[in-house]
Amino acid sequence: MRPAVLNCGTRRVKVQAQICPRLVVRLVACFLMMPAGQASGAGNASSVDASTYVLIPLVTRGEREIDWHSGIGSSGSLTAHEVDSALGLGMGVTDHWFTEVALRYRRMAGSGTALDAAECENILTFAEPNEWPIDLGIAMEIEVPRDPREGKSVRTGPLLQKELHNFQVNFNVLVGRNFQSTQYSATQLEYQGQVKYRYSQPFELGMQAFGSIASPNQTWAAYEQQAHRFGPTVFGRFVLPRERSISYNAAALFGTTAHSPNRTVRFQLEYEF
Amino acid sequence: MLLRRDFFIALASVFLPFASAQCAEPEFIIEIRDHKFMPAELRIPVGKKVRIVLDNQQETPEEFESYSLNREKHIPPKSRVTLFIGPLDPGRYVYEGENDVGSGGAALGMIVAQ
Repeated sequence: MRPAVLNCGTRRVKVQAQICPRLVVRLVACFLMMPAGQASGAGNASSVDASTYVLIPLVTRGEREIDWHSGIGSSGSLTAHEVDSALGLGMGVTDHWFTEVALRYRRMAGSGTALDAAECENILTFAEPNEWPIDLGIAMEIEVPRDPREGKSVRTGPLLQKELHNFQVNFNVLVGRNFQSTQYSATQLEYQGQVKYRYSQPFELGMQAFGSIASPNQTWAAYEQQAHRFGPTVFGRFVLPRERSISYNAAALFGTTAHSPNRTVRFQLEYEF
Repeated sequence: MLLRRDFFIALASVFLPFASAQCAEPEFIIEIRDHKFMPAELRIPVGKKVRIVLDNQQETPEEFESYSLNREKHIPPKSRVTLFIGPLDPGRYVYEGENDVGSGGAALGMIVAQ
């Protein structure tokens, strides 16, 4: 394969793709199909968004981005195999307000890929990074699903970020409410977290965790009914000419409860211009 | 009415420590003229959080981007923006401006923590 030359900060790095894309797909498929010791129960299968990502309280005024995030969740004892993807267009409108509109697609076991929802995500920040002891932002998302049984939903919550030398720590709590829904009657409570070691711009290592404390009918459900996933993550950014860049992060997540997919492979790719 | 006033007083008092902390950092100014950062090398104290004011005196916008400082900022023309950096370990931290090919590439600057 022809090597690509990318600007990584002040260095030009020649990247030779040694791994065949087909091999990568086979490795991901093997990861997802590894036996987990539990039979799948499609009868009570619940759905957990495999394409979820950690929201960051950081806004760059005038920066536009195309955001593609996707994920594959394996079958668990109470979860079905599903593939989620979303494509969005975002912009830093002011120094403290970022907005993005996106379309989400979903493919569940036994069905084809279909439009799942349209959403608008907003991030507000209140100060400059590192101005306060902990960086604080607020997320506000509005989602209009294709399935009217889910009901329109609003999700909001604080986004926290702290830099500790070469480590960056993020933790978010999101509260969601579905309106005119026959599937969700309780307020949904979720969390997101990540720890990242900023080793070098094109390659950083860390961990991510995602969880839902709620069930469809209970805001704080018993642990066995909650969904929790965590796992290793890689991050990176490649600087391109003319103030453009590509950022990525990818994680392999492991579920800890029967309502969590046993394994999830998720990634996010952002083209900033 | 009394309860509402007490609520807002309590809420404001939560943020008071953040406000007082904001005024404590030493301040440094970097001017941007002719697509150059001045001073090109800024010395700041080690182990202290500092406030850096970027004063863009150009008619064109400028960027401040640094991986080592974990900062990316857009500076509109004829305006000032503020960054909060540190506490930093001793060392040299490079940053660059807008990668404008017409001006011969990005302007470079350095912050030296010592």
